[in-house]
Amino acid sequence: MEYSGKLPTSNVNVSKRTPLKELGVLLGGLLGLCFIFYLCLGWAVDFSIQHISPEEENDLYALMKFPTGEEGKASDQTLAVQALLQELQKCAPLPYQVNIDVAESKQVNAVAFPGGHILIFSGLLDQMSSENELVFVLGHELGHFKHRDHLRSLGRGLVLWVMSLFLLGPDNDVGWFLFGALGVAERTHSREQESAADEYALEVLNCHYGHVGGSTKFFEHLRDKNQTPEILKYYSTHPSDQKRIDNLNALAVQKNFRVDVVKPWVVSTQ
Amino acid sequence: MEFATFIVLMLLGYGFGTWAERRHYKSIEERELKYRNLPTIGLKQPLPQQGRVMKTQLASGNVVISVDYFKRFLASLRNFFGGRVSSYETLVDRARREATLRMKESCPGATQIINVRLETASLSKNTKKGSIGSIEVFAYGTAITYK
Repeated sequence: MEYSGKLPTSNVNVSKRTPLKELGVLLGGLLGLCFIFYLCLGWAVDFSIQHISPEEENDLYALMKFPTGEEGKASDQTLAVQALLQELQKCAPLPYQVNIDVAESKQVNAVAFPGGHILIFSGLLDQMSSENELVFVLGHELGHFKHRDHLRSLGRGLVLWVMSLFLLGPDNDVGWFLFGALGVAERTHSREQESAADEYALEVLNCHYGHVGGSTKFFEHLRDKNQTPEILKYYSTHPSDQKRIDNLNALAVQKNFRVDVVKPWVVSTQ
Repeated sequence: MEFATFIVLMLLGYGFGTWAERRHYKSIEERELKYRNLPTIGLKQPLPQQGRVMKTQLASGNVVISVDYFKRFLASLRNFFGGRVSSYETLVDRARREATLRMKESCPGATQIINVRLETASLSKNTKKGSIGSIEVFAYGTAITYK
């Protein structure tokens, strides 16, 4: 018998699926599920925050460590800012004491850490053209405390992290991917929080001075200095500067806030 | 930034993975055609054959094929929903056919290869990040050369 080899005409061992289509279906399904889950989670966190007392919040934050400003003797600038914040708290009552530190840095930013600690960068202070402007920035950070924004993002982040650990394991490609994708959604949420904090800052400004002059000055500086391309805006945590200015102006009109002469910010850097 | 890295890795994985796979399949098909008249069987007895046995030898061939980033991501998505992991199917298919071909190529002039076995092993079983996910297939049998 003569052997004659024949090759099979088709490969039965490989599915005839297109990998890109499969990726689309699976990824769409997973992201859809996550989105639904994320919405429910958001509601759950917002609901449960009402049931956490400020004392419990403080206990929670006591477990964490946050950066503080420079060690040693506080500069005149730091003292002035601290005194200003003290005054402001009459307008923005919080169940706990808020403190502030100045950090030497060129960055134009201020960060509110959980537990009533604000870190303000000297680059931001250098930008201030009036005290009113500074009060607005501080009021904004106080707004974050008032609205308990830290608790919110902490809650969401924590539950998301734990769920991902349980579902996908500690170091999973899909887990990392989802984190990236949901991180974007998380930022839009915090954009709403930023707007709410802006509103609160406006109230504080009005309460402290009796008018809201200088409220938009800071954003006007920022707008003129940096021009973020539109496409990047979805990725950024803060709403665009122009949008914030417009919102503030509209709100001031709506609430009948006056605009008056601003008070200069006297303490200069030494 | 992490997201951008992910997209780049996926594109690279898909691009290079598809290119390498297409090339590999082309080579496999050409060589299978070339060696199609060498019987490769699992029986322990040789097929009836005219002539005298000149030489018997151990014929073996093995290959290691790695998964690309795209395939791995697709497979971990599958892991979530369940079902056929079709992105790994081509990988196993290629490895098995390549190993068999290498075994055939290792014994030029042989008349038949009997008692053929295939062994598979996955290199680096831990799925820690950064580890290499690859499959090894080892094919071996007894090559008989008749005069």
